Amino acid sequence: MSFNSLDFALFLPIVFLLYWFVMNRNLRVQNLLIVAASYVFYGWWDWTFLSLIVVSTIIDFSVGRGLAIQKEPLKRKGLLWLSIIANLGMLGFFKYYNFFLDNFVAAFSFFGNEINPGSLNVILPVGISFYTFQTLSYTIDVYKGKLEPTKDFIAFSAFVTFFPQLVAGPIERATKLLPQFGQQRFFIKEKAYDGLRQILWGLFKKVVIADGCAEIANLIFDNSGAYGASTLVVGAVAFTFQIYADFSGYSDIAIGTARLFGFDLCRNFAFPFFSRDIAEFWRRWHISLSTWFRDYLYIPLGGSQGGTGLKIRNVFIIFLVSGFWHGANWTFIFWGALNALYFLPLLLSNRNRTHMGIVAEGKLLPQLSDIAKMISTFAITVFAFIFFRAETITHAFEYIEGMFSTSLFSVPQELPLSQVALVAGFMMLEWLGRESEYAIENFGISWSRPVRRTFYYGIGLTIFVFIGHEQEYIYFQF
Amino acid sequence: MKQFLINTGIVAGLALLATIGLITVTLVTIDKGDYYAIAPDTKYIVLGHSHPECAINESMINNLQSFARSGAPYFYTYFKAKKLIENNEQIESLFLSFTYTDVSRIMDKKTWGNESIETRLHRYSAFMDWDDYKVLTKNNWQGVLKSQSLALQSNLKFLLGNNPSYIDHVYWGGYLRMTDCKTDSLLVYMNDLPVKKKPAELSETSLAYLDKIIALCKAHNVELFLMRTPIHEKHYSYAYEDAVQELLRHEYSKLTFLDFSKFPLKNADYRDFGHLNYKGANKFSSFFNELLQEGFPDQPDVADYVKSRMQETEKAYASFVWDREDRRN
Repeated sequence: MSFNSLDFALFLPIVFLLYWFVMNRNLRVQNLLIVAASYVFYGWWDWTFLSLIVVSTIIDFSVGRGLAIQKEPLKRKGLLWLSIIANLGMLGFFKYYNFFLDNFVAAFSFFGNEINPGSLNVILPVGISFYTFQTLSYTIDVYKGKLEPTKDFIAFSAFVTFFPQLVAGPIERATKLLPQFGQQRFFIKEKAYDGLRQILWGLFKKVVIADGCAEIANLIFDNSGAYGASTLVVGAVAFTFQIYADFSGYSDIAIGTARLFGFDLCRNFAFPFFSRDIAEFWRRWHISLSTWFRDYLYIPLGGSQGGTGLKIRNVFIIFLVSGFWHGANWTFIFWGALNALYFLPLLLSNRNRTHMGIVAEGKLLPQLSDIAKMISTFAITVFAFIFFRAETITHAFEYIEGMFSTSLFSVPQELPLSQVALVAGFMMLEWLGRESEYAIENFGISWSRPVRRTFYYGIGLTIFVFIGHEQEYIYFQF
Repeated sequence: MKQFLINTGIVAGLALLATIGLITVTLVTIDKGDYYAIAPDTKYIVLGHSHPECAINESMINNLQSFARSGAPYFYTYFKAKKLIENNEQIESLFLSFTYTDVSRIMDKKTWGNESIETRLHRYSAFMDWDDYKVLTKNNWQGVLKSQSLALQSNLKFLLGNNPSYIDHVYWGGYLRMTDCKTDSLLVYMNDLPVKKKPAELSETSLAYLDKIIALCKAHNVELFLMRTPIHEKHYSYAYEDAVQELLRHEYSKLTFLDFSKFPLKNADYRDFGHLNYKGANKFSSFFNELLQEGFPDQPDVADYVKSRMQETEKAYASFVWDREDRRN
């Protein structure tokens, strides 16, 4: 079920009340409720794919138990590879089978051999890219000795299926989330209020900003040939805001919901549009995925140690794999490659860690140089996101070609001012709240209760007014 | 925990009350407002679904305005009729589409199906009372709930904007010009006369709201004509002609039924079996305008008058009749 649905609005309070009032005396029973609720949550979309989660859970729990017993290095490695092959195998089949098949056929056709292997029309199970990586983090950390393998199958199942972050992250590390299932949770009302606030903000981002921008982006991208350059720019910018608000909104709802149940999830977005260079952007965008790739792929490959050739290779591998993770299309690979090209100059010149703090920290306004840096970083990410959104590489290049014409300085044909005003207001709130975990975390804390509640009601009312024009979460397709 | 639940409950409750209050205020403001005036010289209005929507070109007919709209069931048509008639005393006659489609269960989906509620409810929610909502809620409460946000958005846009006409803001209907013709390609694989595949299923809701429209017209001295615009002889509804005639005989015998279904047209004048393209619409609209100019609503026996005029027209278009005979053979 979707976070912004009536079903979830009924589901969450029921699970919440059962969790804290009925099942709170026994930790195992509480965890079991999490598992059951998570299966219901996931099965609401498609119960047939529940079996994949069950298989992944059983395999990785068993591998964990095997690693606990097995001391011989070769056999331990074998167990690890079993988990990797099983998880990536499932992911590979469901996500990439058709892609590889189509490219295989195309390659043969290029050489004049027509083959017809027959496609399987494989459906992508929701969330598979997220939970497979999450369970892999468990087996890898157990193998490396960073985490003791758990004996509690229920706790492990709850870790794998935890419904707030099951289908679109954040991708949690076992070292951080699994121990929380082994400890008693206590209801802390400040944490719960904070969770509700973050849920409210996440819904606002998704329903008001993302879905509104989606209408504009879809209209322009789906008819890009009919629009002038300035409108195509509007489309690209609209999509950039859409994907940010959609994904970070989902993460906010996930983190806020987890807080209601006493869990702490990792931060996934840290105001990436206020980044002063692309390296800072990648430290602030989809943090759980980028750190996963850093820890489990980039560093084992050598990271930024070694010669220039090695650094370039590793950066390209990371960004290409990251692009490929997003989808089975050359456009995502191209998007990854473009980001690698953006990042490499900073890495090779040792300037990738220049901006580690928060821009204009403690101040209301940034310096002019920071504004210029933020705008240029934003511009190159918008450019890259054209490949992310386009249907094909050809479409992306045609789109870009259309953007660079004399009509770039004309008034856009599609520019709903109401949406522009909403995005401007949203970015202002994000700017004012950039030193918090999410924009409205500490907003209005010093206000009186009626004023603060009126502010929250205003956000809620805006969500209600806009909720009729629903769009699917973008990251459900990954 | 208890304090958290109480506080959250209070905030949620107040928010819900405030939202309901806001929805109510916008609905009442729209309902009571002076937003439904139409052209002062409009004496005749047309209501119904896509058949009259495609068939009646208002620009060719004096003193007539069409508010027919695709897929409109009697449920929503009633609210349109209510606001138009109550706010425009100059309206003398209402021509209301009456076909098997209008009275059958097909229209139930158009009344409370998800897509219908999403696209239609917000246009008319300001005029609905508790009983009307019960009809929808009984069949699709989720759709009704979801549509409240669309309705609030639409209503706020209207009230905060400067459009003086609610009819224009939500677009209640009008002539839809179709330029294509699929009749010949349809006839390739559907050349048999329509056959009843299952028993006629009438919609209680549609008939109940038709009765409401009848009562409304009677209360405001507006003459109501049930009307069937031209349809091709292969249209599926002919298979249920007995059900339509039965209704007319037993339930609506006091109303005048204007049956233009067999108005003489060529295949090229139809967009498909149920809808006219612009050629057919122009021919029919021209004829309808002639009838109105002749003052046909005031004739002692309107149905007979229309029938005789149709026969005259058929003779004048004799070659078109030949066209149809040829196709049938």
